[in-house]
Amino acid sequence: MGMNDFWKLCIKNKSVTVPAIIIVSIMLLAVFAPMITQYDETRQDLLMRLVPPQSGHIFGTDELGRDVFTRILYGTRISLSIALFPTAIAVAVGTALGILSAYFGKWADFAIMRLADIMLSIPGMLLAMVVLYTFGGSLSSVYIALVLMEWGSVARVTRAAAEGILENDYVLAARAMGVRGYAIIFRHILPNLIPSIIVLFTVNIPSSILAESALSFLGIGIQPPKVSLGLMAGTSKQFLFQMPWLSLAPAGMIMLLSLSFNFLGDALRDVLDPKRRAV
Amino acid sequence: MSNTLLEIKNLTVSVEKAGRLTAIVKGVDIKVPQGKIVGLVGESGCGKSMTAKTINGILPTAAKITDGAVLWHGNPNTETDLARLSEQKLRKLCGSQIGMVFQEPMTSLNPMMRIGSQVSEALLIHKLVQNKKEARAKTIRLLDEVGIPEPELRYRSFPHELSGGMRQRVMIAMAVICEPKLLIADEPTTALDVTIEAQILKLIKKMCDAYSMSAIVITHNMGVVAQICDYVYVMYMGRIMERTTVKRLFERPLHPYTRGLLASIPRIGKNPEYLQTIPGNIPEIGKEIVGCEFCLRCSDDERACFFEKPMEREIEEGHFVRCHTA
Repeated sequence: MGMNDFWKLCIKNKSVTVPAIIIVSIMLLAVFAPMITQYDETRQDLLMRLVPPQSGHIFGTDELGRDVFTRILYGTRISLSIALFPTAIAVAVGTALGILSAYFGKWADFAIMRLADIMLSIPGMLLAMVVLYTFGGSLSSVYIALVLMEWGSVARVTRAAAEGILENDYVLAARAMGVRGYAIIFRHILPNLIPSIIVLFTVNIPSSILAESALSFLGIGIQPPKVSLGLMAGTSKQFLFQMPWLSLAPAGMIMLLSLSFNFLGDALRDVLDPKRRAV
Repeated sequence: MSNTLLEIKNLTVSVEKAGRLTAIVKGVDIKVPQGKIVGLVGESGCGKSMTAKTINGILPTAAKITDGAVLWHGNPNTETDLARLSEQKLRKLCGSQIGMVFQEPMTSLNPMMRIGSQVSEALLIHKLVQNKKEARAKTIRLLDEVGIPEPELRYRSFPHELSGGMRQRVMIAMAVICEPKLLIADEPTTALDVTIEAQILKLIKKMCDAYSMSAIVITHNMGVVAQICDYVYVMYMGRIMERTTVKRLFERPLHPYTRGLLASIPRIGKNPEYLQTIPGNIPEIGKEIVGCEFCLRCSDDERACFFEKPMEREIEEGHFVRCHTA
C-alpha cells in the first residue's frame, strides 16, 4: 500500500477522521491558549476565589482565584507534550532495539529481549515513582519515567513484526541480490514497519497521558507553579462534593484526549491492517 | 572441465529438528557448464530449492551445510567455495555475479519500494554505475528489454500496481541488472498461468542468450524442462536420481521416477478422464530408509532395492542413473 492510498483510506474512514479532528482542535486550543483566554494561568485573584461557572469564568475559579478554563488550556499543553515527546522517544528506541533484535538474532536478541522482559516485569507506575523520587518531580523526569515504562512493549511488538518481514521473499530476494546490513534494515524492514509504528505510537499516547495525570494527581509528577491536568484534578479533589467542576473539568479533558487517541489508534490499526480492512 | 561455471560437489544440507540433524539434501553433485541451462526437477520437498539456496547463501537459519562444496569458477583458473565464503564476500558476489528469480512474484517484491529503485538497488550497492542517473537509464532500458510496456512510467510504479506476470518480469530484470554469470530461477512460473508461463520461459531463455548467462531452473514441471533446459537433474528425497541431457532424458528415461514424472504430464485428447500419477506419498523427512529412497513407490522393484542403496551408474555416455533396475 502506497502512502497515497493510506491517506485516501484514512480520509474516507469516519472512525479515523472524527478523533483526528477532535485531537487537532484540542492541539490548536492549547497552542493558541494566550489568544483564547484573557487570563494568565498562574495569576491569582483572591477576591474571586472559588466562584462557580459564570460568564468570564466558564469553569469557575479555583481556591486561589485562578481561572480554571485557562489552567486547563495550559495544562493541556503539558499533557500534549507528554503525550507526544516521551511516547515518540519510547517508540523510536523500542523500534530500533526491536529491529536490531530481529535482524541480528542470537545474543543481541537475547540481551535486548531479556532487558525488555525485566522492564516489563516491573509495574510501570512503580518504576515511574522510583524515577520521580530519584530525580525529583520535573517535566524531564516525567519524560524519563515514561520512556522507561514504554520502550519494552514497543520493542517486543516491533521485533515480532520485523521477524515477520524478514521471512518475506522480498527480503530474501534483496539478500540474494547482495543487499545486506543497514540497507536491508532501512530500505526493506523499516518502511514495511511504518504501519505498525504508527499504530504503536497512537495507542501508547493515551497511556502516557494517563500515567502523567496519575503521577501528578499523586503529587509526584509535575510540580506547581507548572500546571497539568492531573495536578489540577488532584489539588481540587478536596472540593469534589462542593464544587465538582473544579476536578471534573480537567478530568473530562484527560478523558477526551485519551479516548480520542485510543479511538484513533484502533481505527488506524483497522485501516493499516489489510486483513482487517473491510473491502 | 575448464568451461564449468559452477560445480556442486557432494553437497549435504541438514536441518535441525528437535535437536537432531536430518539431511534433506544428500550428497548432491551438479555441474553447470558455461552458457547452458540446467533444470533441477522434483516434487515439493525434495530439496531442490534448498540446493539452490546454498549457492547464494540464503538458506533458512535452521538449515546448515554439513558437507560438500559449491565451487564457483567466476573467473577462469580461479575456484571459490561459496559454501565456505564469509557472509560479506558472499553478498558481494551475489547479485553482481549470481542473480535469482523467486517463485512467488506477488511476495518477492518489496511493497513499499518503487519498481525502479528496487531493480536498480543492486547496481548501486555493487557500485556498477557511476551515479543514480546512470542506474536509472540502465534500469529503464532493462525494463524495456524484459517486455514491460512504458518502462519510464513503470519505473515509478509500486509492485501492487502490476500483474503477476509483469512482476515476474520485474524480478527477472532485478536478477539480471548486474549482468550476472549465473541465473537461479526457483520455480519461476509455478505461480503464473500457462500462457504467461510460456512468455516468461522464453524471456529467461532470451536473457540467458543475450547476456551469455548460465542458469539453473528449478521446477516440478517436465514441460518447463523440455522448453528451455539443456541438461536436467531429477531429484527425489534429496538425492539426484538421474542426470543427463534433456534430449536423452525424454528419449530414454531410465529411472522409474523419471518415467513416472513424464507419464504424469497431462496430454490433450489422450484419455482425459484419467490423470496418470505416481502411487504413494513421499516418506516423512527424517525417516531412515535403508534401501533406495524410491523403493516404496516404485513400479519395478527388486529385492536389492529395499536393502541396498543404489550407486550412480553411467548407462550410456553422459547419462547417469541411481537405480538397481535400470
